[in-house]
Parts: sequence; C-alpha cells; structure tokens
Amino acid sequence: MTTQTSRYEQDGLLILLTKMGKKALVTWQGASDARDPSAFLGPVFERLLVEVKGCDVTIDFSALEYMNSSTVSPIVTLLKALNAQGIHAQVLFSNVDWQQTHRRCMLAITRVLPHVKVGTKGG
Amino acid sequence: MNEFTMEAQIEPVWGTIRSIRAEIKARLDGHAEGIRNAAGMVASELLENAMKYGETAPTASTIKFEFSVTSELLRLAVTNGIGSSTDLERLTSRIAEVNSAEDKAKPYMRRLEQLLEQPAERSGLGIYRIGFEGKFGLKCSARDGAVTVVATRNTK
Repeated sequence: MTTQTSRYEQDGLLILLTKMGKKALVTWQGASDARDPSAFLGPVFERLLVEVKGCDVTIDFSALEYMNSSTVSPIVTLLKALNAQGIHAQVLFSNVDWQQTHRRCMLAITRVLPHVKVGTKGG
Repeated sequence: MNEFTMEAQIEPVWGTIRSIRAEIKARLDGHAEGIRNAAGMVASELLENAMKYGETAPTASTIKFEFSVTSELLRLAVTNGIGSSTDLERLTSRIAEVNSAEDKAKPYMRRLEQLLEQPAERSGLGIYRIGFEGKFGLKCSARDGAVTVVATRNTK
C-alpha cells in the first residue's frame, strides 16, 4: 500500500497529511500564533477536505506546542465541514494541561457532530 | 522561587509576542508546567489584543508590558492606546462577563458554540480563555486614551 504525504508549513507551524489507503493522519507541530491564522489554515483546510474524501481521518494535535485563540475558529469550521461531508474524524490531544482543556471543549461542542470523535492520544 | 519584575515598551510587531511568550516561560523555570504555559498564553492573548485593536495614543505611543512574580502572585499587565470606544466596550463587557461567571468555562463554551453555529472573523475567545484555561483574574481600567488590562493568578 502506498503512502502519500502533503506538507503545509508557515512560520513555525507544520501540518502534515499522511494518507495510506482509506486512512488519513493530519499531525500538527510547532505553534499556530499568526495574527490571522485563517489566512493560512483556510486554504490548507480546503485542500485537506478534498484530499481526505473517502478516508477516515485522525487529526493529531498532541505535538502542537501552542495555539492562539484565533486558531480555534478555523479548527471548529474544519470539524464542521468534515462532519457535513460524512467524513469520520478523530481528534487527538496530548495529556498536557492546556491541550486537555481544548479536548474537553472540543468534546463538548462536537456532541452535535456525529462523525467527529475527540480523545486523548494513547488514552 | 525567585521574585522578579519585568517591564518593556513594545512596538506593535507581531513576532515580538512569540519572543515574550518564550521569555516568560523561561523566567518561570521551576514553576509547574501548567502555570508556565498559562502565563505564556495570557501574555500572548493580551498582547495580541493590544496589537489588533489598540492604537497609539499620546499617553501610550507603544505597548507597555509588565510581568511580575512574587511568592504568592503572578501578574501580567498590558497598556495600549484605545482603538475605538466600541472595542473598549467589547473588552470591558467580556472581562465583566468572565468575572461574574461562577463557572469560568461557561462564557468560553458559549462563544465556542456561537463559532460552531456561525463562524466569525474575530474569534473573540481570548479574554474568555484567560479566565477559563489560564485561571487568571482580570481587571481593566481606561485613562487618558489608554487602556490597561491586568491579569493575576495565585502561584500556588
């Protein structure tokens, strides 16, 4: 089975998409602290939505060191779009305090998104 | 733990925020990781607000940043010129909402649910995040065209 990788990078933030068959893994690394994160993330997410069509997606934030509050809105929009397309998505956070806070919040708001599951990596 | 005070006049250059976040975390070496991350986040969110919505004023031609740590209290303060009365009202009303909320998660979650329903250009989460995720208390005062936001948290 072949593995396809796409790499999206800007100013200390790296988003890697790895596709193998019907599974897609999206890992976040570094920091998302741009003044307007949606300027970068918007087009990246548009491409991701095309690339992961027909796949089960895991979005792994556990290696992300920091994200500003402006990053949250585009992420919420992505999860909503994945759900609307019927794409099963699992969102993973690390055990670090701030990541667990985001996990709890995402878990609460995605209760209305049946295709989206939220959890802790390794948990 | 060492007690210290840091004060800086900052030009509104976005990249400075990352440097300050890193410096704060370094200065809090020895404190719990949760406190270091929270303080870095609070500094970032306050400075982002100042750079996004602030203006230069005769009394605040640059952004004033203060950070101090005692054995009991961690304090961050950001002073900047007031961009518009609407922005100031929005800021003060959000701070009042955080302060009056018994459960600090509620204002944050309410805003998050709004964003899920209706995506917005302004996330409007920063102040709520400081109160909820950061566990910092907030105060705001305006004088002579400048606004100061002070965030404090017990270091224990």
